[in-house]
Amino acid sequence: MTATSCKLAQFILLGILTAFSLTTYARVEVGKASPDFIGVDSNGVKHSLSQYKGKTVVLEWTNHDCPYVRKHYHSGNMQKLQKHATANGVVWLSIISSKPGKQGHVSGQQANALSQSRNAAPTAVILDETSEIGLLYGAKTTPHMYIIDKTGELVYMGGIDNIPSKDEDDIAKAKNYVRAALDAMAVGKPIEDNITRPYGCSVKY
Amino acid sequence: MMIGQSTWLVRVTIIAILLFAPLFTAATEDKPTRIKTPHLTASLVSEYKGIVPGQPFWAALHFDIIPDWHTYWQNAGDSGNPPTIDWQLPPGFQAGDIHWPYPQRLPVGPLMNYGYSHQAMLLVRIIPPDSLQPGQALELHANAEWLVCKVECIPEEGKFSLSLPVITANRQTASAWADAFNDARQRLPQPLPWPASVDVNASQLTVNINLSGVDTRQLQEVYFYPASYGIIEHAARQPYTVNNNTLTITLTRGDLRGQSLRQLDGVVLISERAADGVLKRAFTLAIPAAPTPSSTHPGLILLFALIGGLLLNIMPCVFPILSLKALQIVQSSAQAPATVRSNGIAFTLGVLISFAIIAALLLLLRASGEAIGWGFQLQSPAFVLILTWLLFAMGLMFSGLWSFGESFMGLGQQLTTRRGTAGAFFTGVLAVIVATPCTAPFMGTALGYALSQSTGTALLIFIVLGIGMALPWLLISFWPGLSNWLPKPGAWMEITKQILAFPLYATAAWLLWVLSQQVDQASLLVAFMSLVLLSFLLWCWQKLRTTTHPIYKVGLVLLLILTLAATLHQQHPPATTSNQIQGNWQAYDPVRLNELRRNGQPVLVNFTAAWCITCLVNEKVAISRATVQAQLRQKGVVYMKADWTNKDPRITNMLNQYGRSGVPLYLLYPGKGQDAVVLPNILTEGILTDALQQIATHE
Repeated sequence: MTATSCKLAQFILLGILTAFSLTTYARVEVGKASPDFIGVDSNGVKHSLSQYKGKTVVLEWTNHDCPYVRKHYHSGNMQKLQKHATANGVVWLSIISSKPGKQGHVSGQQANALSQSRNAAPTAVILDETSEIGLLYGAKTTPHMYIIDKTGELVYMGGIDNIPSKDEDDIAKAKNYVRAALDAMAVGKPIEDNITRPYGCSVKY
Repeated sequence: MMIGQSTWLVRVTIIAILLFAPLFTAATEDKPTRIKTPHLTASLVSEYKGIVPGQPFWAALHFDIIPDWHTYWQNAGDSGNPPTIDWQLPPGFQAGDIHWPYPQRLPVGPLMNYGYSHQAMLLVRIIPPDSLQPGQALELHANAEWLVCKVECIPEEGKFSLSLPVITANRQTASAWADAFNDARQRLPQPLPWPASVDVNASQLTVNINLSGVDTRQLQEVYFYPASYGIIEHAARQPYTVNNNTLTITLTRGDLRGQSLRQLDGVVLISERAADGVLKRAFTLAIPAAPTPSSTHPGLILLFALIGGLLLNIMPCVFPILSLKALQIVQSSAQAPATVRSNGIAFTLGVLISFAIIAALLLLLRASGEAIGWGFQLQSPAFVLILTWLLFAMGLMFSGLWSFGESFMGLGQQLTTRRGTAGAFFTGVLAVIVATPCTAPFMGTALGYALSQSTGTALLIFIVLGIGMALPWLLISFWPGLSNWLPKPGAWMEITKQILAFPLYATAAWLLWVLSQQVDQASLLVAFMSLVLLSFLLWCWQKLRTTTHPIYKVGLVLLLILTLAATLHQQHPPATTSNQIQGNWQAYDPVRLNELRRNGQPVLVNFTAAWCITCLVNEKVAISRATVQAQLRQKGVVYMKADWTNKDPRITNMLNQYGRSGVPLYLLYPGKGQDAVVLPNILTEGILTDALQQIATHE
């Protein structure tokens, strides 16, 4: 009798734990519709994913104090990609999910100053200080990149490139997954690497 | 005078070396062995103070990390990065990959990282060349990069140099780091000593580990560290249950859940409550995932099973039965086609039902958590003995000592239809029983696959095996035209029958030898005597055939059963099984194997059994050849024998790890911590010498 109730308790516990583990992250999945979100940018303008239906959207999780983000901005790599993308009609949303008081958290003004000083060219910088969008997408690192196609389907998630180092010299040697994906999409080819390992600092939730 | 002069010269040289030695060390100061950053102190260290020519040794990059900060494991988890070491070694030196002690969990908000706090010891095995001269001073250079994090992360790097003298083996002494090396090695994951499997679905991985011999009440915690990104959601809980000694861990699939998982790689850390605190043990998991039906070709496996079944017909241990069948078909070709057909069907049924029974038995055992494999029947002395009696009695019957009724299994002049059908059925049964020890190569694959499948699929594979075995005979019985090549019945059949008795005696003799490996000497004598008694009783049976009174026959049968039962009761395993080094080989011991591998020693492991003919042939024609033995000695290869004659879960586990359900299996560990090379099942001297040629000479 005690054994039965013990087993029952075990199952209930297992159920609770499983349920818990599933709620940690909503699951975005490559090949499925990307979940909609509404975010406010550094100028106080609202952006939703759904408003960009018909356009390709790039999401870039960022934190200007993270050495890995610095690698790609100091070298000019990220800005170049942003310009290449937006010039081809792609919407580029940089997202900062750092909580207030944590590394990388900035005000709208600071975010604009950063964009200007770094010559960055995103469509907008979304301030996600409630972590809502970060947790919705399961963003883990800065940078962590997502691409959503014109139909609203998630087509890429992962790293910026395939050499997880902080060394700027590696950029030239690396395969830039985001550029490769955007180029493939532009000519209607399938994306070769559509899920890759994101590398960088943890998102400061 | 000459002698005096040279002594003086030597002295001056020694003094000069001693004087200048500090300068040598001073020259390396620009690349230190130790680098201090604000967050940690990194050191390049060696377990020993010197290098012995040709003797592999452990070096390590050690981090002494300030509180709250950490560095990362091979899989850093959701963020972070593992350290890298780029070696610049003197010519002829080789450095292996980093051996990572098991990490700890480092949760950061909703994320999970894997790494080390306080101390991290990244072990690397280094192999110096043989050509070094004692007295040389060598410098090992390494450029390392690492990420050290609290919440924020700092990438750091260092260029290290470690100066070590070349010395002779008898001068070797441990460095101050020796204890740290020992501690770190204890935290290296070991091969999992238990059978494990993984079930894959769209969102979860279910890992099952059969913890036989573990007191699971003492389990405190179980955690799986995946070897690489995307396999599991690192931050997700890993609930586990223990049921009948089977540990089940439920893992949430990670980013790569949309892709098929070929193999689950990682480290499972099992924490156990012990008398003096908590014992933590890490094990390497490398479980081939049960393939999803869509991604593999079950059709191909079924085809293999069919071919395997066909091949069983020409296996030496089935040969006598095969001949028996040939005679039976010759016999029945004179009869009505319908009779022939029903005989064919009866034979097929006999085969199929026997296979189904074996399959059910295997699956039942699997379900009960037994570590089993093909040929397991021959691990039971009782089964071996019964098989011996059966074959011996058949041999005696073929020799004409006795007969069973008018006929037995379809032999005899006045064969009735009914008896023929029953005979054909039992011929099928007999053929399967005798065929079981013969693991044809195709069958091994099919069976290995079958045992990892769902019950229904496994059963299907066994049935197809049976169909393969019965197919030729079924075809002949339906199209007797096919048997036109068979000679006409006649007096030659009696001669053939008598000749066929001898392969049966040979098989019985071989089985007795198998038995001799399993029981003590007294039991063996009882077994031999039981055969004499068996032949006596069969002789009596024949003499009493004309007697009308059945009481004698019943009495004889009872006596026979009594004899056999008494004999079975008197079979005892040998008092001790010797685990010592015997001749040129050592008994298999997973712990010893790991030890040897850690020491970089090359090892050849021969998984064998006394009842496995292929294994014994391989030993005879390849392993025990003088050239091969000489090469083993020359290369410093340790030769281990894993004897599976009796059930041994440690061996079964290892076989399972390599996707095998039976012997033979030959593993050659080339040393230097490299993974094993699986040698072919059929060995030749050439195959072995070529394989041995590939490994570097040890010592």
